[in-house]
Amino acid sequence: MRRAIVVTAILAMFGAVALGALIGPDLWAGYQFMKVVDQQTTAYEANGGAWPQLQDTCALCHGQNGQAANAHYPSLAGLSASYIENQLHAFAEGRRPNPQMQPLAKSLSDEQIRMLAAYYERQSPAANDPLSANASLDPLGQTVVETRGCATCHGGQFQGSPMAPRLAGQGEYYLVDQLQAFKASVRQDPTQAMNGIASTLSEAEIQAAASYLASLTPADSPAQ
Amino acid sequence: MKTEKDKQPLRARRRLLLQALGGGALVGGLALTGSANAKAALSGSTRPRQADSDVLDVAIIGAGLSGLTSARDLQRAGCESFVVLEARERVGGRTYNHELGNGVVSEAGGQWIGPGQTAIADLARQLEVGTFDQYYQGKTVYLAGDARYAEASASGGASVSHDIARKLNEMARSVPGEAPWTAPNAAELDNITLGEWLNQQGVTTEDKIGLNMSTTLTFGAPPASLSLLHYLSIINTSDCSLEQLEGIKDGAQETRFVGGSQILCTKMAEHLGGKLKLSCPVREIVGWDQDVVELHTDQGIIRARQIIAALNPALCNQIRFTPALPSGRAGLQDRWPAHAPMRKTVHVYARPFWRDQGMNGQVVQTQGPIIWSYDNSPPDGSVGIISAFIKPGQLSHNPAEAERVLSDLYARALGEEARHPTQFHDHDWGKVDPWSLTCIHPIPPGFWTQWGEFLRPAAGRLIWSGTETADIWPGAMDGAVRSGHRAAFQALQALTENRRTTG
Ligand SMILES: Cc1cc2nc3c(=O)[nH]c(=O)nc-3n(C[C@H](O)[C@H](O)[C@H](O)COP(=O)(O)OP(=O)(O)OC[C@H]3O[C@@H](n4cnc5c(N)ncnc54)[C@H](O)[C@@H]3O)c2cc1C
Ligand code: HEC
Ligand code: HEC
Repeated sequence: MRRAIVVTAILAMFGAVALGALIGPDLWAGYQFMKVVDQQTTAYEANGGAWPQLQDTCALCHGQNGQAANAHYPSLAGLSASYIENQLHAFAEGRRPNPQMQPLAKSLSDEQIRMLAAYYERQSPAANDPLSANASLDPLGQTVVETRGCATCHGGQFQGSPMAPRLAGQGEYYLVDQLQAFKASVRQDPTQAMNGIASTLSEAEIQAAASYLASLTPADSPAQ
Repeated sequence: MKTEKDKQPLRARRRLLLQALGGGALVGGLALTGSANAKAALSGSTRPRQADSDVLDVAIIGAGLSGLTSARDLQRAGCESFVVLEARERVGGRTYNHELGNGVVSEAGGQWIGPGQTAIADLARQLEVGTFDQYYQGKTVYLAGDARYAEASASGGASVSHDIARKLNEMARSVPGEAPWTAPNAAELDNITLGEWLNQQGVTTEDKIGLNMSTTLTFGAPPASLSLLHYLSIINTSDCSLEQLEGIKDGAQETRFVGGSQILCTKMAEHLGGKLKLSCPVREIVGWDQDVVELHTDQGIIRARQIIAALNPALCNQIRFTPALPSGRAGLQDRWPAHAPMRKTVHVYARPFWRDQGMNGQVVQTQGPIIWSYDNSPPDGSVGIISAFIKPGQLSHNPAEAERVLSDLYARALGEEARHPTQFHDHDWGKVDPWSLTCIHPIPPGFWTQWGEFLRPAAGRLIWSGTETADIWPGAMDGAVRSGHRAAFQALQALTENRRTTG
């Protein structure tokens, strides 16, 4: 990138207008490129502070701004700060097992955990890409979540409530993993309500419920 | 390797082994002090022991480069009383070839070696595995949003401002790669992230793009979560040159193996026969503080006098230890960072068409799924391959969708021909199975100074190995080979010593 530095410096000095024609397509492309990078940087800093942010690490797996494009990883965008804090402490204290998150959470200070939780609570969740979401027409999923009272705790439209996290638009395979983990008591929630509920679900019901919940559009979504 | 030795009875061979070892230990000044002692050690080994006919001298856990190097060394020293236990149904660990047909491969895991990585280069020569240069000539394409910018870079890989690199290289001199926690100012350097330090220096927007990319690739995390001490220790191990660490030309990404890196492992495994047990994860290690240790595996219990754990500390942490490990080692394993993202994709094309247009196949995206793509075509360029490091959470798990998203980006970066690959492969190491967890160790601040000293010291009969324990190039394939040599020697040494004391 050293050359790009030179390019931008030159363009900044001369002013950009019509420079593309004057000094060749490469320099013009370099200028355009740096313009977009600057816009990205401004948005990045406005959202989370100066470079580099701790969230850069999380973004690799949890997506840019906490919105994962991969259904195996949970989206963090729009989860409540208290839920995120609880989960990070649960990982750190070994109450929630995961070989990647446990050591990572142990390395975070309480202050960092609070900062990260507040940051992700602020991010707007988006709907899953319909091509990625396995938007199944199987009515079983909807039936399961409606008849088992999931919304009582997880909120109307499964948008989350002070009691339990948002499920709408969460990653499908992640949801399956969690329901199986609750069912097998590998993951336990403080009151073990989820363990009780998951233990009543069959494998087919777990798959269907996850697929249905993943296909829902989160309320806070800019796409709405 | 059929030699006279192979035909000799086991007991006589064990004698040979101990003779060879006695010599080594004498030279090293470690143990045997005279021929009388050496004889005592030997007679100890030939005396019948009760009920231990099923007890092996060594059990190696893990058939990656490290474990297989140890196995090879044991055999070459004449030791046949060992076994290699591998969780997966294949060897290679973090080296793994996608087979693309017609003998063409693309590596899903480790693939490059470079200057100073002599242990693995020697191994490749001995195994008659050829090498060739990574293709890098031409322009790298940078994508930001809809903007595209192409530029050639001198060394072919990531580059950082000269001033910052010079400062880092200078600081790295006093941070020993094999034990960063012993650096004179270790506490101070371990108290700060690389990101904080960089901000103190002032970095340009362009540097930030390069640093985000290169530290994620080489260290497993972006600058905000890496300890400065750790960063410097890895530069130290790269001959105090960030340029050598990150570069292609004259750098650690310079050279590839003909047939892919995994071939080193498959070749080493060929000599093991029944001593290699695949699909045999070790679940529990009992009595590591006793003379004979029990390994509980999915295929039953294995008993051995010395154990070589040729796997990273996070993987060790998935094994149950009875009794519990000493608190230092247990603490290290429990906190060993395992969150380095490692997902690599492969696009196969009829030809490396980008080369004709003066491009090297490298694409860097400031925001989006691609961390870095590169030309991974075979030596003869008979087909074109673009492989990419991907942010696992930023690209769909769905293969058709992932292929399309990347093809669109490549089409913008490299030309329309990129839109229709003939094959697509995707490997997210973090999700395919639990036997790697992480590609490299992104060490956070405060870790080395608190836990580093517990990385290598053996616990009872447990010898810790794997690339993470290497004294040079830890984390790299070269480090894996080095750790394998060291661990085999350590095991043989311990066997000799134990026989001396019990004989
Ligand atoms: C995507 C990626 C890119 C990389 N790029 C490079 C590169 O370009 N150059 C480079 O030098 N290095 C690179 N590396 C790192 C390199 O691959 C590793 O350093 C090296 O392969 C490690 O070898 P190892 O034998 O120490 O460990 P591993 O290869 O991890 O071997 C450990 C073995 O133990 C097995 N195992 C785990 N748990 C158990 C158990 N309980 N019981 C039995 N067996 C078990 C595993 O299946 C595995 O086979 C890369 C790694 C990745 C993932
Ligand atoms: C290597 C990939 C990876 C990285 C990097 C990563 N995570 Fe995670 N994270 C995961 C996985 C996988 C899970 C799901 C764990 C499970 O299955 O229980 C998870 C789960 C979580 C959860 C629980 C989500 C829920 O809905 O319950 C939180 C909170 C979280 N991570 C926060 C973070 C933060 C904050 C960071 C950055 C400091 C981070 N993660 C970095 C992979 C990662
Ligand atoms: C009694 C209240 C309650 C009910 C009813 C309930 N849940 Fe939950 N659920 C919770 C709580 C609380 C958590 C958070 C657990 C924790 O803190 O670890 C949770 C977590 C989850 C998670 C993990 C989310 C994540 O991001 O990791 C899933 C998935 C889930 N619930 C699905 C369901 C489904 C499906 C139903 C209906 C079949 C249901 N829940 C009914 C209380 C409830």
